[in-house]
Amino acid sequence: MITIITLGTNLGAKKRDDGRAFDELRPLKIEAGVLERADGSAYLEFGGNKVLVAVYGPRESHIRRFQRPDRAYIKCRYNMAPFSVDDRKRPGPDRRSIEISKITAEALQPAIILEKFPRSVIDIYIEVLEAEGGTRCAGITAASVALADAGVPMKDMVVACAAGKVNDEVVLDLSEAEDKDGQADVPVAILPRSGEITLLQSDGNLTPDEFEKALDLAVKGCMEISDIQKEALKNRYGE
Amino acid sequence: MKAKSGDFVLPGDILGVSEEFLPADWTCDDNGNIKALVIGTVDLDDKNKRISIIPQTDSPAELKKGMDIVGQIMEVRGQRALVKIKGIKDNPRGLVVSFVGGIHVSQAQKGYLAKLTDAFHIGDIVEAKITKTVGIDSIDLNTSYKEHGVVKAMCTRCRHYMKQSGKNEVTCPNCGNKEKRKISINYAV
Repeated sequence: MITIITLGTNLGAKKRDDGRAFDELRPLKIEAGVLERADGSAYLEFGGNKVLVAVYGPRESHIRRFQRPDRAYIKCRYNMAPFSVDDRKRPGPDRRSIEISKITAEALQPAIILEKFPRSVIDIYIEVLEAEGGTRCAGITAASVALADAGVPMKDMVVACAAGKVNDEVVLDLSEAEDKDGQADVPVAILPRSGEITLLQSDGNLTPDEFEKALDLAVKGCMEISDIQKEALKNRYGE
Repeated sequence: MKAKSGDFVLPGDILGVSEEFLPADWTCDDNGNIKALVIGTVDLDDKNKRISIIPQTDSPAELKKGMDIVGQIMEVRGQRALVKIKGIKDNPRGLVVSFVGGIHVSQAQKGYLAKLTDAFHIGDIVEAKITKTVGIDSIDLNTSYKEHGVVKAMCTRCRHYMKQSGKNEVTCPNCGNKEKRKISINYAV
């Protein structure tokens, strides 16, 4: 794990195709405890993304290969609804969703006190109802709120945000159009209080300076999202 | 941040440092900082210098001494009946892992019980109190109180659920078989 140092960015002046500044997030709304029968749940709207997350457990794993004698196992399923994108998506897991399920579980794992629940499994179901770029980050952010809502002990709330390069400019929170036409995409998940990075991917071409700038920008975005995450839980459970 | 009793906290909030308090329920020591692990309110025990969180969420169900449980009789041996613990009474949240508890013949009812088969049979659903937990696998149960005991008895002849016909007697509506049980006041059928 890497501890990061946030450097100052001065990107607020220029605008993008959708009118946002280079360091501006899309509108974000999070609601906790939306599903009655799940142990914990969250609904997130992030620009055009709509994501619903349900958490069940920790509960007994009936699949013995998922049982760990000393800790719980995180079983994560990221799924895009067939109607979530413009062209109908073929239902069921594909190469991309299997990868995102894996990296989401790994991004959340450092925050959860798994040792408290040996032989059990924590099921996380991420359903993308509408997709508009950055669904993996939206899924991780919503899953973290759902885990807290389920009463799963965590040493911090994981928060994720992407940065990237579009038209030779490093920008925060890429939309779908920017993701398709852009030159690079860097999704980042962090533990906001300690600054530990739990997910760092990089797709595309960036110079070392641009990469550092993108990472700093993503961390700044994560910090903003973290405040909204906390607000969602305060709204549900009251201060 | 130095937390006070009654403060609302979220997972990861720092409550103090390890020189000040001992981390108790739903808190942890993370590199010298005591952190909250769940959403809840702070409970500060100044006398014992312990800090804990009273969760506001439904927390994963864990078995503790004094809790009432619901389970099913798996086996009745000479001195001991084995119970598969299905859940904690009045807690809708399932158990983290399934446990097996034991009811000793001396803990089944008040007074002398000659045979454990006069109190329980395989398949009966029982409510009991946890009297001792050692590690995560050894749990002792007690059914001597009136609200504890069999809440649904199963006929040993036809496996049909039975009706209460006396203080310590149940009758099968299917085959007419009569058997003895340690019956709870909450008997269901």
